[in-house]
Amino acid sequence: MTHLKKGIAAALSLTMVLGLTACQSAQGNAAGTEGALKETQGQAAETENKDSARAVKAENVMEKHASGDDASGEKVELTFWARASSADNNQTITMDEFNASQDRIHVTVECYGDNYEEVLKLACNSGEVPDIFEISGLSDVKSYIDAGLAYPMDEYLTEELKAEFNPSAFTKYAYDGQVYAIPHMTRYIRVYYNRDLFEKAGLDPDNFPTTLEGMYDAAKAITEAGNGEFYGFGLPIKSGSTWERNIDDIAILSGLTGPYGFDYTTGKFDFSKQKPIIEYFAKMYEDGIMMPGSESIDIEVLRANFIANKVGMYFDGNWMVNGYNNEIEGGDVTNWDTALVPVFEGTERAKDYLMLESGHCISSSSEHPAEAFEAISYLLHNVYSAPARKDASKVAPSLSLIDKDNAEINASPEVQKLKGIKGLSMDTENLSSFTVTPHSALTLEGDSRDTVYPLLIIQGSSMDMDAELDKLSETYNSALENAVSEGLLEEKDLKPEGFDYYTR
Amino acid sequence: MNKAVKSRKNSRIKGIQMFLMLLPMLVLFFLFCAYPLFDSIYLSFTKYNGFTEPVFNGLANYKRLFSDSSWWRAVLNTFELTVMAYVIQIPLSLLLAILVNSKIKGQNFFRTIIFLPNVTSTAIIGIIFFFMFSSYNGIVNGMLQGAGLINRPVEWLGNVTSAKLIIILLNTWSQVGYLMILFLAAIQKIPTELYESATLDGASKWQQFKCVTLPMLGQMFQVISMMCILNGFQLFDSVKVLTGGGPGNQTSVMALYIYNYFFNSTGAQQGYASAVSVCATFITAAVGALYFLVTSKKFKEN
Repeated sequence: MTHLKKGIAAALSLTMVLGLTACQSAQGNAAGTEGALKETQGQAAETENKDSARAVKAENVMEKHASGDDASGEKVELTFWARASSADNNQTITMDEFNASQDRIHVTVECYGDNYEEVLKLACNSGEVPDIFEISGLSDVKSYIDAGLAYPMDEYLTEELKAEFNPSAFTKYAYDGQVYAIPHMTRYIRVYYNRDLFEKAGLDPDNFPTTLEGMYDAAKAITEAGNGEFYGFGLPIKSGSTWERNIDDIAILSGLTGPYGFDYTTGKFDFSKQKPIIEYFAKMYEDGIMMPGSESIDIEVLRANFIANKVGMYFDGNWMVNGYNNEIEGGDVTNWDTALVPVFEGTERAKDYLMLESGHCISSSSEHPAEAFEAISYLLHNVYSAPARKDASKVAPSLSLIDKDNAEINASPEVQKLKGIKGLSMDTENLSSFTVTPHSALTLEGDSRDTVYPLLIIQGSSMDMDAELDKLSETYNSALENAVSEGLLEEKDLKPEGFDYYTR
Repeated sequence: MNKAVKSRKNSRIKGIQMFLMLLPMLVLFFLFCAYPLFDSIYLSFTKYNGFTEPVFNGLANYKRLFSDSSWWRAVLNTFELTVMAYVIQIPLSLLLAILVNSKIKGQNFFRTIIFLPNVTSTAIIGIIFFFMFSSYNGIVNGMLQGAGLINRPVEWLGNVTSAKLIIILLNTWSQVGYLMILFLAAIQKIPTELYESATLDGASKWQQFKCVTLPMLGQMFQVISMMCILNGFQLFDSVKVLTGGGPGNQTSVMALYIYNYFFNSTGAQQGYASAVSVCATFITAAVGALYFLVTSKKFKEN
């Protein structure tokens, strides 16, 4: 009897061990340490056991591709990870259309939202990178290449194809003379303002102020008219991208600095040049013109308040014209509009800052890079026209780097009827990007701009702003020196000969 | 002879059995504690962004750590919040334990009410507190404005001092019930005879508390205090949800600081984060050891 009991006990222990060991891959995600994560990825890779050939090194892939090994006649299956929070997004719609348009390639789209970078990082560690992925803010292009993630696409870029795009398309994600991704979206900043609140404050909604001084007065008038119900200006201090949208944008338009306080005329970071703009927002905060709670709200909360008629104006990306017209509930009801971001009185206005961030990469572990490029090319050409083909009510402005597409789509009466369309640029002529944006290649040894700026806005008057900005420049410049010595950045790119903020 | 062999065999089986029973725990321990720990020690000597190969950089991360003023501010904040939490939570939970232990009506009701917040996850409490104290549309500001006490919403979480006070308030509210239950268990273990004889000797309630309850809590007091301190050093979720360390790292704590470097989606520095976490481990261990050293001596004397 005792033997039997002991036997059962031993068997139970064994089952428990096996059970718990089997569970660990599921538990792994909760373990907040890199080691545990790595272990889990290993397990996940084993469990999923997709296709062992997927782990083939880049060189093998290249050989395979060169020998035309994949021309087997069967449908080529590709995976594509889109950065999107819902499955009903433009990229998925376009890829569905691509799948239906031919019978050689099938692309499966998987959507990842805010956690895109983390998912990609995990995939990289476990060798499970999809054939097509979006190059993100994870790091600079070189890191993607070093990690064996990105495959150069130059061999597929014909002169004909190149001629269609704005030339910036091939500089953003290039390294060592080769192109690793082509952005599909032109992003730039506009002021979004509430026409009804302008009227309530006795302002003319058809004439949005062209100077920052005028915008301050308008914000003040709206706050006073609101009497606690609504406020003049919204600044989502909690969102890291706030400073790029607000302060950098004004600095670039005023010919002061590039993004992140980088001065292309000296090849160094100089945050002190952005001081007047920081002081401008700090004054707004101090004077109570800004929406209360700015210090703890992010862009999503601000957008919700904007649509609820609680905020008079704020800065946001051009893509929100589509967002408010088609995606956010109530966005088509509120009486809003867009306008150019103002500059200080007497300042000559430079070109708008064109941000190119959504580029698609072919994974270097993909067995079908040519087919992957075909899919990417289809996406680049159709991502703005496909949604309306699927659902006529989903009309959106084209923000492509292909001016021909922009002209065609944006000239249509349906697009012209959209709210906020008047403030957008219909071509990429008045937009300009920077060949290199050094901040993305830095490993900072100290507080970042996104940490320091909130403090300067909230406690502006009680802080030694000059000292803080100098310290910030020092941190960035020392990281810049390291990045140059590591070969991540080239000195000649940092200080382009004859650079001028107005003719760039 | 036969018996001896049998008992040896039995003890071996017992040994295997014990090992098998411990195995699940050991497997998990090695997977999720020991391995990551050693891995982070290794990573602390490298430059590593989480996806390219780690590059050995010697003691560079540690050198940087000592001159990183933001890190030391986070350490200071952790100490501040821990000390404040200790000073408030320990007396409060002891007081509550004594109160719910006395013969009052609805004893169980009070015990449950006080303990209940502990059942809720800190992150959720954090979100609720965020809604309460958020400057715009916040419940507290709404009440104050409704009562005509303030004209414009107060930026509770934008001001460093008030943000810290809210963090302490949140932690006290969620922790105190648990500490109270521990104190209650310890108090109920004290033999009633002691109180009876103290009463016969004419000791007042205060004298009974000072000369009977407090000394008799002994080791339990030490353990509860230790838990309170270690909880303080592990502070993370409430700060993350309420302020995210802001404004400008001014309310950051050790765990959050490490997290921000480790899991930064753009430009993570996992090598440096590992060095910082090794340092945090040493600080926490040193405080723990110091506390034990000081208190064990005191308890031994007693």
